[in-house]
Amino acid sequence: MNAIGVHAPGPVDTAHVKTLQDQIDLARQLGGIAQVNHPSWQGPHEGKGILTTDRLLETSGATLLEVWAGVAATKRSGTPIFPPDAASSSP
Amino acid sequence: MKKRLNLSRINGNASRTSYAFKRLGMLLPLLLAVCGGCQDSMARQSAGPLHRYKGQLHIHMKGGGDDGTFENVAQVAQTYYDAGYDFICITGHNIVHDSRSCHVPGAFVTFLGVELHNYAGEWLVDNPGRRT
Repeated sequence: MNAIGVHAPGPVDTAHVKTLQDQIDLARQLGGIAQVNHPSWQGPHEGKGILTTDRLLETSGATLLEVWAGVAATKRSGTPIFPPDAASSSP
Repeated sequence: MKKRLNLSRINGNASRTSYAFKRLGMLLPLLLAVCGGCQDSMARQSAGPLHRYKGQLHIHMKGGGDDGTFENVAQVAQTYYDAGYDFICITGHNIVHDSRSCHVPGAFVTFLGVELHNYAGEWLVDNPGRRT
C-alpha cells in the first residue's frame, strides 16, 4: 500500500496495522492518496496471495491501483493456481 | 524542449547517471485511477486543454527497502527526469524519504510518499477488513 503525497518525511509507525483497510486508512491519515500495490503479490503462498476484486471491494478509500510492476516476484503473469485469465474474469 | 534538471545545483550529491534503468527493485506501475471526485466535463473545458504527464509512483532507494538501486533522492530525480518523467514519488518501506529538495516548480514534481508495510505476520489479503 502506497501513500502518495503525504505531509512530512520521516519514519511511519505501522505497528497497529492489521488489515488492508488499516493500511488504506493510515495512508489517508498521513495526508496521502492510497494506492494498492501489486495485487498479485500480497502473500508468500503460491496462488493464495492474490488480492482479488471481491476482496478489494471489501475495502474503501483506495484511489489508485498498481496494475503492473517490474519485479518478477509480483507474479504479474499470474500463477498456476490463479492464472491471469481467472484474475481478469473476476467481477 | 524540456530543460535539463540541474539538481546538482540544488543538491550537492546529485548523480549524473544517464538513463539506465536498474531493473532490480525498481517498479514501473501503470496506474488505473479511480477518481471519485472528478470534475464534470464543463469544469474541465473551462480549465483549458488537458495535458498528459508521465510519473512514477512506486520507487525504492537505499535506506527504504532496496539498497541496490538508487543511492539518494537526487539520483532518483535526475534519472527519472532524464527519462522524460514529469513527477515521481519515492516510496520507502515505512519511511518517507525527504525529496523536497528535488522538487523544481514548473519542471519536475516530487511527492512525498511511503509504502506501508505490516510486520504483524498477518497477510492482509486474507484480512481485507471492514467496508467503511
